[in-house]
Amino acid sequence: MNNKALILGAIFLLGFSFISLQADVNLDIKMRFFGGVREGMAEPPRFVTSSYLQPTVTASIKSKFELAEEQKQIKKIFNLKEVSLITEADLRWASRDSDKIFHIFRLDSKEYLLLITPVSSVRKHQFRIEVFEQSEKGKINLLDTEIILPEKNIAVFGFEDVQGKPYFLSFHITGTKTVLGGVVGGVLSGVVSKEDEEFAKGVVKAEGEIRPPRLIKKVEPVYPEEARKAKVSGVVILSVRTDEKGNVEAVRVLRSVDPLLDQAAIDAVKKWKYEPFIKDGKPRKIVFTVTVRFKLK
Amino acid sequence: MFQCKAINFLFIILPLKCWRDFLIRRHIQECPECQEKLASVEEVKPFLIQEEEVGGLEGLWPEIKTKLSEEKRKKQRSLWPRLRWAFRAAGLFVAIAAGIWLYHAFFLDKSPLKESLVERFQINYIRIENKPARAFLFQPHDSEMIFVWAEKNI
Repeated sequence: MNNKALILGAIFLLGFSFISLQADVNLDIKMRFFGGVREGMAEPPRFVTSSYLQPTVTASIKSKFELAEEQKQIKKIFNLKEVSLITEADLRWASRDSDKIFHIFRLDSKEYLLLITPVSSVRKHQFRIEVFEQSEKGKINLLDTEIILPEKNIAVFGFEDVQGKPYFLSFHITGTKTVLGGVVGGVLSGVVSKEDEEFAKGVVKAEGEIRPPRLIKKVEPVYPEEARKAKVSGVVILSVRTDEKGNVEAVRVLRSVDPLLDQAAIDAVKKWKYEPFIKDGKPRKIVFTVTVRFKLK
Repeated sequence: MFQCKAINFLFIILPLKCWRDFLIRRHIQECPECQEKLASVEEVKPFLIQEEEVGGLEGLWPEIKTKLSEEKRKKQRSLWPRLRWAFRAAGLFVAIAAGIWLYHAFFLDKSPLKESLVERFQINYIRIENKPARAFLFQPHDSEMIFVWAEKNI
């Protein structure tokens, strides 16, 4: 009887520890990418094409780290004429899905690859950050660092690209979660609306190592007169879907500034043309993210 | 051949002697392979020492039986304690592993140890173009923002 109880106990514990080892770790990081302007320098690009971002209600909730505060501090500390938000993303690493977070964005003809690799499963806040500038000529490592970032802090890394232009990457951990016996095929936190779900349904998403397509024709957005008079400026982030020929067929707003500026951005982006996305030798529809910056002169 | 195996299996699972006898008798009457094997045993039999040639075998079988059962008991006695300890050790090991994991997963997140691990911002290294870079750190007063400027070592 004793032996039987012992065996049963061992089996139970073995099963429990097997379930335990299946636990998922989730890490949510808010990333912002800024372009700095020194005295006598040209402005950073106004349009950015980047990896697909899952539109969720949580993504639009205001961060306690205000964008304006970040910009103000970067400008002050690095003595810059101006600091502009180029793109931002709510990145999520789930241990079940991948060992890295990939985020790719294009500024004009240049392509940047951001890789975030959690280093330790115990120290969930310890991760490696790598930034690469990619072109046809090759891949240049602009930044490679390993940090431990407490949840209360926001880390801003400043570095220069090959031409010596200053860029800034800010990171803030918005959440870490351990899910016991992680469910395969589980959903990400945050609520995805039905329209957003439909928008990307059955279409290739530019995520992970899938690069967003290259912009080949762009139309400048028209600054609405009313917005100009009201001195409204800011960054509009859009989710864009192109057809098999690379034409923009649908646009949705991920980050809104003002209805007038949102509409101006949508109108312009709908006239853009991208290189067709090819997968398995066939042109495909693809969804990705576009950032449009409106700035008053 | 397959039929022989099936009969062998049936012999094992059928508990009653009368069924077993019937089964064997019927099979041997019908199976040429088994008949051949029996014939060869019968041919070899004269070359083997016969029971009547040995003599004094009356108590042999009960003696063997007692010895065998004693051996079996001894084996069981020596194997069980070892197995029991192996199970106990395995159970203890699994319990410790599960305990450590639970501690990490649920308690360490809020423990002072965890706090001390993540309390401070730390840079382990910083590189540009795969070479060690210079790093300048700034933290404004009353701000949770930490600024790091990285530049190439010239």
